Amino acid sequence: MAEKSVSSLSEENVVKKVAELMETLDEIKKYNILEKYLKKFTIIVITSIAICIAVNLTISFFGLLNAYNELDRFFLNFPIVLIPSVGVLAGILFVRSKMKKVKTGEWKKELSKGFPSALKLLSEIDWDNSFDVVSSGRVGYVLYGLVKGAAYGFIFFFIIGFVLNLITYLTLHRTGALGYASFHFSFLSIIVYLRYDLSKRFNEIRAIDKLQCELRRLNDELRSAEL
Amino acid sequence: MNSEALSSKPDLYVVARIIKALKKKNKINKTALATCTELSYDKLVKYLDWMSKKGFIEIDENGAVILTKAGSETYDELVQWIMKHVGQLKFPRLRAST
Repeated sequence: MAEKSVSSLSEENVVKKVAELMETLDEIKKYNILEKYLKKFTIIVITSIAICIAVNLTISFFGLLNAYNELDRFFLNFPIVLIPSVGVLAGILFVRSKMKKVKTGEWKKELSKGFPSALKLLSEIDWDNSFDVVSSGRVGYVLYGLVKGAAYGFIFFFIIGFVLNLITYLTLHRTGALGYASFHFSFLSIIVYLRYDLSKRFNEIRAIDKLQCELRRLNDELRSAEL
Repeated sequence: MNSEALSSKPDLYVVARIIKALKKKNKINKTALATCTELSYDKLVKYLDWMSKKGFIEIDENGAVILTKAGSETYDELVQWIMKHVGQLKFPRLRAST
């Protein structure tokens, strides 16, 4: 009786472990989505930045805000930062919506049948295909972070510029007193942000590579197993 | 046709399903076993032939299938073997950042 309990406990553990493995493989599928839709994301972000620059140039070229004083011009010009912000947000939401559509958990019904089904899932996993997804998705995953970082840099530039100008206006009663400070600060912020974001992305890729090696070994063991 | 031997390596999943069903019901006839393992009768018979040769099962004079001690131990060993390999896996906490 006690032996039976130990055996069924082991079966439960195998099922639990296989469920973890399948959840991880489901998550890995999402990395490929970033690779697949990187171009569209980049187009959305770059278009929004281009529109923002075009609007800014149009305002300057035609002197659309010349009728206002320096302070009003400063405040009226700032909302154009909403254009790239909306662009980045739209791009992120677009990618997220695609990620949500990734079919996951299709194995749950099968796995609910217990140990033999866990064995079936293990033997039926297309290991090469599962990890090809990661191999092709890794560059896209890093590039996605870079594009997003660059867009954030552009937005930060506006926001930091706004804050600095507001401070100099309140203290010195003039805007533009700090020259290129907003550029330097935004550049610095982005370096810090990218360092954090990219190291996180690289760590994830390294963890997936490690898992890939372990799973290949498991796959070899399974294929060579004989009763 | 029915007595044809397994042409290739037996599928561990099928063997595990048969043994699991036999563990639940100590003695069962082939038709009932085919139903509860969701295998075609022909396929089940091929597997039973193979398992009988390996000493995992016995078929009594009434045609009922009985799991042997060796069969039960093999199943437990299979569970332990899979657990040994799968248990070593460490899954990273992944969440693709957008």
